[in-house]
Amino acid sequence: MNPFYDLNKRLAGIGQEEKQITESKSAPKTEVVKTLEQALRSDLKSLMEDASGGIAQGNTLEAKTKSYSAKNAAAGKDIGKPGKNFAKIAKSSGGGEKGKRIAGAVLAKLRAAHESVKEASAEMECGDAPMPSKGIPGNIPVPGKMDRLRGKRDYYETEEESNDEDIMDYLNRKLAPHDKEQQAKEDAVATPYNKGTGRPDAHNGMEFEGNAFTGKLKSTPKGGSFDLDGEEYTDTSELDEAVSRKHFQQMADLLKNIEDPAKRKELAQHHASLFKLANPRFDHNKFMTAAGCMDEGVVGATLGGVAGAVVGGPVGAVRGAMAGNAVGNAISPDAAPEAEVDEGYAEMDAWLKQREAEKGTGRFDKKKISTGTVYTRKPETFASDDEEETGAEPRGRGRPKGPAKGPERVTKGAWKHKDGRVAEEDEEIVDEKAEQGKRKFFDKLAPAAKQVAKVVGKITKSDDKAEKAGKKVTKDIEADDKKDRKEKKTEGTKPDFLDVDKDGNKKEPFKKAVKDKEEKVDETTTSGSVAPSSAPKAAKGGMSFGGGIYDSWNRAYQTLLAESVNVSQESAKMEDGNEEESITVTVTGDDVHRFKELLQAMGVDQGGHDHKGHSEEPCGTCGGIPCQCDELEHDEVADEGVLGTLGGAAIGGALGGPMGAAVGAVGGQELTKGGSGIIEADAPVSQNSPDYPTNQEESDDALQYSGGLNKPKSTGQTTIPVLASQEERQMSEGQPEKRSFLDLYKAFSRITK
Amino acid sequence: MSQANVVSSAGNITWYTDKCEITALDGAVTYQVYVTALDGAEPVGNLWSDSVAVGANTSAQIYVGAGNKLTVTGTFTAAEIGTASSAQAGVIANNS
Repeated sequence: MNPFYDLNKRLAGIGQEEKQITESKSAPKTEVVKTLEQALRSDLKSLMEDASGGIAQGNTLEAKTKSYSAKNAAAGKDIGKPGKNFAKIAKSSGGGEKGKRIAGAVLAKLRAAHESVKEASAEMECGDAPMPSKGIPGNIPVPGKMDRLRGKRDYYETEEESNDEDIMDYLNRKLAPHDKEQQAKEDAVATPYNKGTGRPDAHNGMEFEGNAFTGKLKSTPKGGSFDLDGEEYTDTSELDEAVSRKHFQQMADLLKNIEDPAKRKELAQHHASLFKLANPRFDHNKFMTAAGCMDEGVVGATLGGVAGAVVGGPVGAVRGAMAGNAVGNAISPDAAPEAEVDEGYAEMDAWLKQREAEKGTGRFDKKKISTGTVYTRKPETFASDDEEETGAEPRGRGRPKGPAKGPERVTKGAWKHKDGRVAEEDEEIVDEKAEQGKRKFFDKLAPAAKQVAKVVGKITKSDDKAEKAGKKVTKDIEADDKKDRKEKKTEGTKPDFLDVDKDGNKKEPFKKAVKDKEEKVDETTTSGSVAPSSAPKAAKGGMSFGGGIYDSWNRAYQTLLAESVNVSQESAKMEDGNEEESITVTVTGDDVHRFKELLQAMGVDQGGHDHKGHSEEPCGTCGGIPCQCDELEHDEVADEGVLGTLGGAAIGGALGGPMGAAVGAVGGQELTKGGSGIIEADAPVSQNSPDYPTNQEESDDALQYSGGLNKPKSTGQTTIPVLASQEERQMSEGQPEKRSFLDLYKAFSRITK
Repeated sequence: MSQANVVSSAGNITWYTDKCEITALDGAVTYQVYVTALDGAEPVGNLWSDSVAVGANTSAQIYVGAGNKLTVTGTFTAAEIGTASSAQAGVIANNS
């Protein structure tokens, strides 16, 4: 930084300060001061010139001012002007001590004027033209430099005679003893500015304020005239006296007498609007009331104010009045635009003042903070006097209780209440709760209900199957028995030659027999068909929930149903007239195993899982050599197929020999398929099913799967490429069923042989 | 030991050793072996039910069988490994 920067800045600041001081010194003088200085200057110059013997003696202002010095006076000199000296003043003013005092006063006045004029003169001299200072060394006086002053002096000399005399006369007159008569005479001839002797006047116009015109106008009444300098002036200023309350009252009285209320109101409002413009304090309501025109706004404001006062005190009164006014104006649009509530505001102000006054009386919490004192109004419920008023119910914790809630208001058009939506919602809630209760109840009953439904379903299903099988058999019989064709056109006439209901009557209608059989469903078996297994089937997919405590009951119930051996005996009359009896044994549950063992011991191939191991004979179940039952999954449905096929083959064989057995086997298989379709859905997998193949990607090598086709799987199992000769490894899912069916057919054929 | 033959394209070509090492380069390759029969008898047909895959940038040593025909698809190198089967050593030349 420049080291001189700060110094220069300071010097510049000093220069600025000096400039400001100079400017303040040379502040513009007022006109009064200028006039006074001018007057004093002229007087003083005249006096100085007289005392010094005129400018001809050629001296400076300083030399002339010495004439009023006390030195000269002490030396016995008369420092007054020649011819107007102080001795003369003293003598003219009565002589003696009094004359001396007067002369002294004149001297003091002149001295004071002289002191002030000395500076003013110096300023004037300096201000007129730049004059070289006497104090400056080496200042050489310039010849002829006072010529300009001399010219001015000539100016003063031209009026010196008259002015001097006038001033002295004026002074003498002022100092003369007061004589009332003389004063009156002098006042008569006095100018408007200056009065007579001993009266205050305006010297050179400085002591007089205003003018004649203003004075005249002031003393002239409104609309009056006055004379000034021979001319007449008239006060044409407007009447500014505002209409007052009495005028309002007068107009209201006039309006009140108008009979037509509409006209009265119209005129009242018209005048009210005029009065409102003329006088801002005009009270519209009062005027309208006085005129006998109570408009709705006023009524509303009044009533609202009353109601507000009752409910909420002064502030409530104001707000109530406003609200009432608004309501009233809404009722009558031509009413006053705004009701006056000045009184209400006054009350509100009073109330606020009261609140302020309440501070520090215990109703406020007082807290001093850094910026002042904070007053926090306590809740009114804490005040002791309020407690007495409110009945003094002890205040508890939490949110204060409000009034009891009434029924919910129904808002017209609100969506909530549209078309009785609230009632619907309530109903929905009730319904939902009821539904929840039902659900809980049924959840508990579900396991038992499922079991009951299963049993009933099985029974019904078995009945249906039996009925269908019976019908099929009956049709076959119809085809063979041409003699009875006409009688067998309708089912109702078919004889119950199979004795379906096992009542021994084979001539009764078949339909009736079936009906009787249904009534005897507890006996479980029907003629012409093999009773389907009632053994519990393994659960097919899915999971069951809600078993819980019913499991033990379920197990006991299932065991009771499963462990049963039913034996039914049938006899049928053949074409040759011989009766052929058949016995159907239905074994379920744990007895199946024992029964199989029994059959095996008897040397009867029961068609079950009789694995042949590595024997050369095909497996009785899968027909494979060796047995491939391990690769095939058999379920209960397949067992049902076996049983159905067996039943069909038996019936067919009994009726029609080997060919009939084959047809019966196919029929039984189809029947069972139909039944199993209910249990095991063969419907195509939909997108909603969990097994739907969402991953549709394909690849040539399938290497994205575990280890690829020829790589070890994650489980460590190796994947060996399939040889073309390994047909069993190339089977699709559909092929084993066909093979199984074929094998079954072969097996059953052997049995029936 | 003589230098083993290496091929980069194999469309039903006769293979003269028992085994083959297939090295897949950029992508996976598949191979199939067509099994011939001795002495001009009817060929058996494809050895594998479906073509076998070899993963990209991997190699596999497979059995081909001397005299059988190898087909490999993809970008690969196939090198003869092993020796000609003695059982077929005298007949390959006659029947190929």
